[in-house]
Amino acid sequence: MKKILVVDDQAIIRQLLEISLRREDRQVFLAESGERAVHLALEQCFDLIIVDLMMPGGMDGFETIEYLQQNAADNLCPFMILTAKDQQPERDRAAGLGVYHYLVKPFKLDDLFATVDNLLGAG
Amino acid sequence: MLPLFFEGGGGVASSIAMGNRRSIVNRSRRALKRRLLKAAEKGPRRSRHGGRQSPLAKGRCSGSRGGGVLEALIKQRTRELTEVNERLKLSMVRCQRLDGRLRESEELFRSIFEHAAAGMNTITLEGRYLQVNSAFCDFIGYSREELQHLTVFDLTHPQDLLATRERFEGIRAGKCEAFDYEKRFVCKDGKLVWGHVTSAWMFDDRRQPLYGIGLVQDISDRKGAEAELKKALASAREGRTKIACILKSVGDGLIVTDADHRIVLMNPSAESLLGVVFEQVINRTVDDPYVTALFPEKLIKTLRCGEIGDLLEFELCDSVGRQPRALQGRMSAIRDQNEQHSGIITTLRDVSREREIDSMKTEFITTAAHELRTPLTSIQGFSEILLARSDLENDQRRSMLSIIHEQSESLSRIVNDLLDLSRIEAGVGFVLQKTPCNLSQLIEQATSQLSWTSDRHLFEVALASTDSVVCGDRVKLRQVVENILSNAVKYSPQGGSVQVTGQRLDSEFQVSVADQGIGMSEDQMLRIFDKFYRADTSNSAIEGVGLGMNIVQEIIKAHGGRIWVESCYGEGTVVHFTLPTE
Repeated sequence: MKKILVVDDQAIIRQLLEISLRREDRQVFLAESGERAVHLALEQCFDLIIVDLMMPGGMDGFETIEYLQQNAADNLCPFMILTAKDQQPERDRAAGLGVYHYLVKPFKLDDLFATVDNLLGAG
Repeated sequence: MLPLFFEGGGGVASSIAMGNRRSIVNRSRRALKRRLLKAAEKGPRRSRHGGRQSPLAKGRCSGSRGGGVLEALIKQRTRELTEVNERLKLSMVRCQRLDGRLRESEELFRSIFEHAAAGMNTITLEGRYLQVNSAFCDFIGYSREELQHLTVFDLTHPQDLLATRERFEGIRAGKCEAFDYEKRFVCKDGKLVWGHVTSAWMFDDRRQPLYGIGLVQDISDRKGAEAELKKALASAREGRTKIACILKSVGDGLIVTDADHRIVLMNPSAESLLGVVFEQVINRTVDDPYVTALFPEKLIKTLRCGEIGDLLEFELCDSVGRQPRALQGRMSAIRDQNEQHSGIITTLRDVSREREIDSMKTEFITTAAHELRTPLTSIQGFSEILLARSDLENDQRRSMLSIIHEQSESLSRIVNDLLDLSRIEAGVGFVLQKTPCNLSQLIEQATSQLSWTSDRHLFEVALASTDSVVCGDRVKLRQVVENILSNAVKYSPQGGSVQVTGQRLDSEFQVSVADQGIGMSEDQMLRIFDKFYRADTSNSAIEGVGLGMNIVQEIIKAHGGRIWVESCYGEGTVVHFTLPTE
């Protein structure tokens, strides 16, 4: 059973991802903020974390990734960014963190599935 | 005794000096006559002095003497008389000779006086003209006859009257014997002429001034030239002042460098933009270490080797440590009268505001794209699921469809905002379809929608529904209410109460929406109605493209209402607006 964590502040997007990614062999976990995601990720191991970049509160997507890379290095899973931000600086920053899977909203479900399958297969 | 005015014509004009001398001669002649008469009456002086009785008197008194005595007396007397007569003759010749010399002198003076190219006159202390020459008449434009009835004060320009009187007073008081000054005369035709007056005065034995001899040179041409020069100087000065004022007032900074890269001019705008005082760098070259230390490097580089038409842009940090300002420089060549390149003029403009607006626009586009992407993502995603999955239950389908519907509504709101903005930008404004609208109803609808999306906020609406009817465009007013209420929710992420109150004031209805959110700083309050302005760009998760309040304000204005905010940073914000009830 593969475990995916979806981090997005917008309930509708969380709902969309949960419905579309859920399969018999996959478990989808949801977090509405960076803090919540960190809390969950330090508790258990995930096979993939899908992170939105713009989130209110103390931690945005990048900060969440950075924090987890520094504090949960032992059981590090691949990250995927799913964001409405389609600017080069964000892509560069993601690459700087070693996150090369960057999907821009709105996305085609096929693209989402392909990326997720790819990452889960590799992981 | 002074001679009176002389006839001008026929060369009869006699000199005053001659006249005076003649009167002296006359005086001496009369004195002689008197003495002679006396002598005839009383006999020779000698007899008086001798203590003896005069023979004549004796003869007259007694008449008894002999003829010999009488004859001797007569002979004696005759001899005496002959002697006197001889002396008189001699005296006469001497007088005639003197008279001739005086006449010559008089002739000479008269000739000089009359033929002098400069105006000449003799004048009394009262300013009356005794004599004038033709040159003076030509100068002043009055005839000799007319001048008999005029005084020097009548002919003096009012502005020089005081100076003239002072000089005459000086003579009267015995402070001086002559004067010399430049003054204006008023000619017969009213024209103003300048004269250089030299006046020497004659005094009697008791040092009383008798008359003055004046020389008047026409200096109108010189004065005219002087005035022209003065005018030219003044106009040059005025021109310079004007240019200096223009340079001073130009909002753009100006730096002028000559062909050798020396800084020859900097206007106050350039001084304030660069924080450099012109005096500090005047006439220094741009390579001068003193200049390079004061000027930004990029500007120095451009001033040194920039090409005409070059544009440069650089940032300057205030010493105060505020936001850096963006300056733009443009260089143009200065050509002298011969079209020779004589330097470069560099204009500096503060483009911070433009850059800020640019970045706000970029931010807006990014945000707008983001705002559009979120509803699009769910519409696209859920519709894909609906199309792809046949295993979904009816309830699931229904809930997905309602999400799609909600999100498309949200999309259309954003698109409407954008359209409103473009209409405001184009100056078209809003076309309002006014009907009576119940504000309390609109507010109730909006709050019930919002309370769906947020369970952290408590809406307290206190509006009397009966008198909250205003005249307005229902759709636009709903937009206003939704915008203000959603801002209250957006900017109070910790939740809290949102209080909506309303009251009728004369012919308008005032609504106030108060939240317990993050509040606004002074700067944020000033800019809340700016286009593209979002109070907190760092908190990008707060939705909105930064158009809301700008559009709200435009809608309220279009209705003839007012909108304003009160806020306290960290405590919350109150938005008030009024709408006319009629």
